Amino acid sequence: MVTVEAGGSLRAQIPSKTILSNAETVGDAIQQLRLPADVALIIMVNGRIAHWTTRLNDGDVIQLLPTIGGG
Amino acid sequence: MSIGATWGKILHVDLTTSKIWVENPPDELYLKLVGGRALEAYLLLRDLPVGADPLGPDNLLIFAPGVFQGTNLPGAGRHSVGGKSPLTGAIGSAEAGGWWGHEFKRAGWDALVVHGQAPAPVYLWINDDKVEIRPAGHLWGRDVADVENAIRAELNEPRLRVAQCGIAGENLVLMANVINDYNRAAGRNGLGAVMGSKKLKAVAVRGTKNVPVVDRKRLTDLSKWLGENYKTLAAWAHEKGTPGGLTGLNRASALPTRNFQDPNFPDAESIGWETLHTSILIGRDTCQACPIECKQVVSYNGEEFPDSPAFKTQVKDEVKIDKVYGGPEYETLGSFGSTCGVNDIVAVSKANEYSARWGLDPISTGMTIAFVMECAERGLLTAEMTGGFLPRWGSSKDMLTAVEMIAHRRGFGDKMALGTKRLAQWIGNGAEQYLVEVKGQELPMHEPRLKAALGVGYAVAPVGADHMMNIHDTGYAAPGGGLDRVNAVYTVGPLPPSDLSTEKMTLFYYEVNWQHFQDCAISCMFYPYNYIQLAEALSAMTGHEYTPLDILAVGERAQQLCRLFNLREGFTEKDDRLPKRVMKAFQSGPLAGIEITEEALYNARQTWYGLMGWTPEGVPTQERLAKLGLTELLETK
Repeated sequence: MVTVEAGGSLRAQIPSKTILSNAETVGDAIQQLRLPADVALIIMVNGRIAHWTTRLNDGDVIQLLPTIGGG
Repeated sequence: MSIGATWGKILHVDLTTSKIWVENPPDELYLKLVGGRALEAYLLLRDLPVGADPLGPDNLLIFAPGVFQGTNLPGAGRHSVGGKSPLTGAIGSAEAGGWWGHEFKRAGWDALVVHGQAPAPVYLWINDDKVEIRPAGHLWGRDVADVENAIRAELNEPRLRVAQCGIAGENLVLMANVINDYNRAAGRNGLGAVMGSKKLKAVAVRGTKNVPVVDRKRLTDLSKWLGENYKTLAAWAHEKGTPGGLTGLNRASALPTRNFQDPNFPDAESIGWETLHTSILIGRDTCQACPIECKQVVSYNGEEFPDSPAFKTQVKDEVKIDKVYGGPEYETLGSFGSTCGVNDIVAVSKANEYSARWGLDPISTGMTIAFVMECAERGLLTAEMTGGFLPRWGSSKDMLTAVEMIAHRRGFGDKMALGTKRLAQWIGNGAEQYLVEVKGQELPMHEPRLKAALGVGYAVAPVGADHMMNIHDTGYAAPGGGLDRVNAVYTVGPLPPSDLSTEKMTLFYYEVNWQHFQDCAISCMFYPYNYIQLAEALSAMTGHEYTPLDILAVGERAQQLCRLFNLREGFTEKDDRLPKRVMKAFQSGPLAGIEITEEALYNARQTWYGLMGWTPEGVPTQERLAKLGLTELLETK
């Protein structure tokens, strides 16, 4: 099982400390969450920058932070 | 002209001789370049003598909308300003939102090219076809809002729009912006100083003509799609604007802190959107024909905010903020906030107000102050050198004082007004090692150690470090937005933000061409448009069919022309570099151990040079220029 913590505006879409039971990679987890299409994401696992293919272990915490690309 | 949504008329004004003339360019020019940045680069290559002084009479100041302006396409409330940059010596090209570009295009002009230098301050009054050079001595030295109101009253035309150089531009501050519509800026590159050097205080415009779109129904469908989808597809911009991402970036070690030294800003919450929203935010603002309303508007008059837990200010009794100057974007919150170690949303917003009021670039100004803070802390700057001004990290008052000194070139502000690269040369004693700039332009508030291809983009952008003619790697880390867009021409899946593979650089090639295209046709990059939709829009407006690859070729033409300009001004591939500080890994935090090696940067750059049809030395080949149809355009001077 892995836990997902969402930041910023993603908190509206992802309940606090969502538990996923069968996600082998970050990509599996994100696909199960069905995020809005416009979100640019910072992905972290256990406080370290991760990416789509990062493999997950039982007890991992995925943090998803929406980010921006301009300003 | 047989191209829809253009007039076939470029207005030239020589302020030395007061001569005004109209150029009727061939259709080919607009079919290939579409306007904006590509047009600016073409005109600079054609009309600016090699090696010209950016602040001398030979430089050109070009105001260029694109095909999209004046058509009511949502996201087209923008225009571009170009010239040779006094900050970098390279090409300068900057875009602004607002209403000025729409109004100017509706006056019946495709571009305005200002030549020469007036002997005394003037402003231009463009009222459809009527063009006047009017005295502006009475406007010189006045604040932006004051000048705009005075011109509107003087000409008795409430609907006119004003673009102007602020006091910083008058004072030839090398980080001066051109301001329009009170609080919008053609930012970066110091083009406000070019305007000031010409003694051109303002360009007031009023346009009443309908831009001739060939097939408006095709456009109506796109506008309708946008109206139905923007709330979901541009939700981040609609809900929180650019400040919304600040605290998330900080959690990922990607909020630049104390001149890009630290992996974390402990007080990020105090300058984040949540604090802004629960304290001084009073409303939203928008640009012409834009439903998204991403602009934050703030006001402050000494209030306290007990319901805003992270709110803090050191200037409660000293500072008031005038809402006419809008509010801070993410860049400003970073540049005057975390980058200077300042955790004070009031002071940061006041610095933002000063930037609009006096016409300063918040990024370069904040970064220059941060550099001075670091040099003062390290003992490289002494009180004797600065007239006693030694700003400290985290001091709101020191930061605000520095902004005021820069705009007015008061005391040590005269040196700070030159930007960090020249300042480091003046300081000496190894100060260069603390610089965070490319081609003399200070880095924006995005971290290459999180976004590696953005770092390559900083290195190769023709204007120096820039975050808008660039990609943000985090936008391609998961399916959706950016990947959906690029997949129209290049099939690729999610890529790690730190990746600099051939796949990433190919994606970079297409997406940076897209960004440049959007600065030629001119569309806001916060819009969820894709290649297919804007190719459709350009086809509908002009009556000439463009495919997605055709519009990407427009963006590439802009880059090729900018490169040719920079090469002739003496830049080489050695200038396509990154500051060492942002290549070296942090010791702690989410990005610990992630570095960008010189070899990785070199290889990524070479991959991109190859995709651009450039030699390993970064020189465009004749074959690629011919393929893009630029050879004949450059020969017909």
